[in-house]
Amino acid sequence: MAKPMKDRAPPVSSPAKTLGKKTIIEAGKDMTADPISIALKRMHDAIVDEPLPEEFLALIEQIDAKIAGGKQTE
Amino acid sequence: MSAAATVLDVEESQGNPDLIFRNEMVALIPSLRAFARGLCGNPDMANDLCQDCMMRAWAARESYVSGSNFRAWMFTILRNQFYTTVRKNSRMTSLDPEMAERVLVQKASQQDGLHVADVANALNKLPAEQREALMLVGAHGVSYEEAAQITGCAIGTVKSRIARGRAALKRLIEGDDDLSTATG
Repeated sequence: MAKPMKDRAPPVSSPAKTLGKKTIIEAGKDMTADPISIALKRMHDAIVDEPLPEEFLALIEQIDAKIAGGKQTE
Repeated sequence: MSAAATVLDVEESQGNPDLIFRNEMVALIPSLRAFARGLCGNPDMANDLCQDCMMRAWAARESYVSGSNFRAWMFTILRNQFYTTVRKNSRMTSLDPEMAERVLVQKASQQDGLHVADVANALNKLPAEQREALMLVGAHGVSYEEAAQITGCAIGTVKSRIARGRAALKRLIEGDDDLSTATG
């Protein structure tokens, strides 16, 4: 025999339903769950994974030379 | 060569603030490039922007407070440099052809069929302040507080720009090119 409604445990909401819009609008880290943010993250990751262009390596070498030479060379 | 390969020996940098600063800056280059690309939409311009940012940061390194948020400090310099440049050039953003080619071959999201290329195209049509807010929080995963620090505005403004930017992106992806209700 089924329990009367008042004796039943309240229904458990799914995490996604509980978070609702808060996932997207209020919680920055949780934005990763929505499709637009997934696409933005993919764009970001594609650039981050690119090899460093030569011009950056040259700039780093300049900085290294300044460090090696001391402040008087700046 | 990756940025990681250019980081000098950690032990060597101990006690040398210039080396520590240099290593932190080099490690941040990939993120700087991604942020710059999101801001201006052009790979060559983004690389120039990053290098300008690095040179300015290096020149101002003594004003950086050790232990504070280095990424926010660098992103702020890059952002300021972008807006200085954009004042001189009326049209900075354009579709990054390399990115477009790359993302066009990526599979759509399993969840909703959303193509990265569509988002990349739409992103370049947004006002800069919405684009940067979406990139910072959505792509780089920075907190609203950090995004507010970088953009020099209130947290509520960041949230508002993200909400408007997302709504505009959605409309653009669905084929509505009219952003008249989403600007600002």
